[in-house]
Amino acid sequence: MTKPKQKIAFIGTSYIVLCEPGYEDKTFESEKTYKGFYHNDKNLRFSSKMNMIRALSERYPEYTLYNCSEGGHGPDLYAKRVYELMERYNPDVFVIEITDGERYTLHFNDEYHYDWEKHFPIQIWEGGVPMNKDEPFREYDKPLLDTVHGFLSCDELNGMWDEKGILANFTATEWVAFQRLVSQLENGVHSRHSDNMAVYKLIDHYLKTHNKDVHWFRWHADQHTVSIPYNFQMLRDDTPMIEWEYYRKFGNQPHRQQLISLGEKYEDHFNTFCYDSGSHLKSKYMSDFSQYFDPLFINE
Amino acid sequence: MSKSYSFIGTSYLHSCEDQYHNSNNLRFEFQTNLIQAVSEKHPSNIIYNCSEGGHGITTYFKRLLTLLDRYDPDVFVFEIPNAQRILAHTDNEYGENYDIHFPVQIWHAGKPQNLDEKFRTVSASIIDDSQVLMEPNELNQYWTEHTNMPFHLGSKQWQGYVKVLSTFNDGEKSRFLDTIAQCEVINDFLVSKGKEVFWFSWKPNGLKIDSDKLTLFKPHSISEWKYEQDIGKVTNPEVARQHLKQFCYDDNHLHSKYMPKFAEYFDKIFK
Repeated sequence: MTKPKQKIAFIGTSYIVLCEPGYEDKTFESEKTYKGFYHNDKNLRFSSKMNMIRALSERYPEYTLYNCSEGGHGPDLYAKRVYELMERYNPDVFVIEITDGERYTLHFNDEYHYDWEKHFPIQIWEGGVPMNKDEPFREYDKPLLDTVHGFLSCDELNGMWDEKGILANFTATEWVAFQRLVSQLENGVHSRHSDNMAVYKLIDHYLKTHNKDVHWFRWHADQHTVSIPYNFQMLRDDTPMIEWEYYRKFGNQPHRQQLISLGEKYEDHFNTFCYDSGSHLKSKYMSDFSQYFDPLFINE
Repeated sequence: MSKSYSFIGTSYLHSCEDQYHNSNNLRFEFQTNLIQAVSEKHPSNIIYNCSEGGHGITTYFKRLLTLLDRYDPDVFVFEIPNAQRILAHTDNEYGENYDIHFPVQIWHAGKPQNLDEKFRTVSASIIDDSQVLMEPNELNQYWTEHTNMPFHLGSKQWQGYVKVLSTFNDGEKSRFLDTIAQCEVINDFLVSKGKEVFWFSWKPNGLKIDSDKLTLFKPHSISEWKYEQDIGKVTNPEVARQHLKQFCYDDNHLHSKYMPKFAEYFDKIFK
């Protein structure tokens, strides 16, 4: 009898669900170049045709991997995702990203409530092949409140809100207060993370009491980082992805106290593998970097 | 031995009319509240009121962990928060010095037990649709106080912000979906620790709480309970909302003189 595939669910953010615009792939060939964009606009659930979890799935074809991640959003949405994953797929293992940044989700309409399944950001991968390519997905993502909005032009801000269905046609002057406020959010990231950590503790407990193997990881760690609970299983001994890559290349893992001053150095190095300056990997490096998650499979 | 109770909620459990406002002791900024009335009715129990106006479900997790760590109460009663309640942290004091932000009031026989416990001067800031109704000078004052940056902006400069806030109500049901999932995670955690856990809401929002995991009060909203007591079965949530107004000093929050009566809502969990 064939052993059933082990099922591993990943919950996270853009770092594990995006790739660079322009990535093409035969799996999605019939859907390319809609309105001149390379992104997969006809299949928004797989708007990035490659991502870290797909790369991992290619390397471990004997597993079913669920990638339940969405760019920008944070742990406010994790509880609902966890329940849905449990109910639909009952995965054996959960791998969850401890988020960085502020990540405040806003809701401006009731679509997420009435049409939740279209907002459930699930991708199912087996052997690098998407298994739920035809599952409908929402057209517009929920808006966010983000420090970055403090640096956008008024046209960009108007465009951003228009895209979310909020008619905005304001001048730079009329956006002044909004931009001043959101630019303050980065000053409270440690406070935000301290609330988030309490959320993670209870999610960890919930999953463990339902006999799940739970692993946590971080992409970044900086001065805002909140202490990790002693009973968390942290991937790579709590070495975040961008530091792990640095040590892999240069060795010499420094004492934790030195990490803060080295933060920029790690990030500069990591960004040489990224398509932006925000630590988002280019697709061609994903297979290599997906080794970060190998302990999940080796220890099985 | 009498059980100890903790209530975690929002302004509905924390505030009263201005007459009893006390700016000299911010932990007990309102000298009475619904939970004090509950405490007076049940004098043999220690009651922790861990509620704060404007703050929502994202702050409940840390509050309950701190309650467990400090006091290990036997029973938890939660208000399911309504509205969006975006806590917008603009500094790190809350994260680094949580003890002075932990909004606990300890009540015994209607008397406060931790009057001298230090409390923060300014709460963590909120981005809330109630700010749509604020005048520019009020917005300037609120955000100057909460960011330590001077705000001297005119109505034109606040327009974009107010526009964004004015759409918050339209997404309340979506927020509620995440809120219920978070309530369920909290419930599961506390039940596994051997705690009794109960949930209620203040006003019905027209949504059925579709959860077989939560032990809800019957009826689950206090406004429906009051309507049923006074008039009869609620057929339309809106009439219950309207009925509640006459007991409030601002259409939403209870006037202190009605608190003893409303405290009866919680009687069954003390039996």
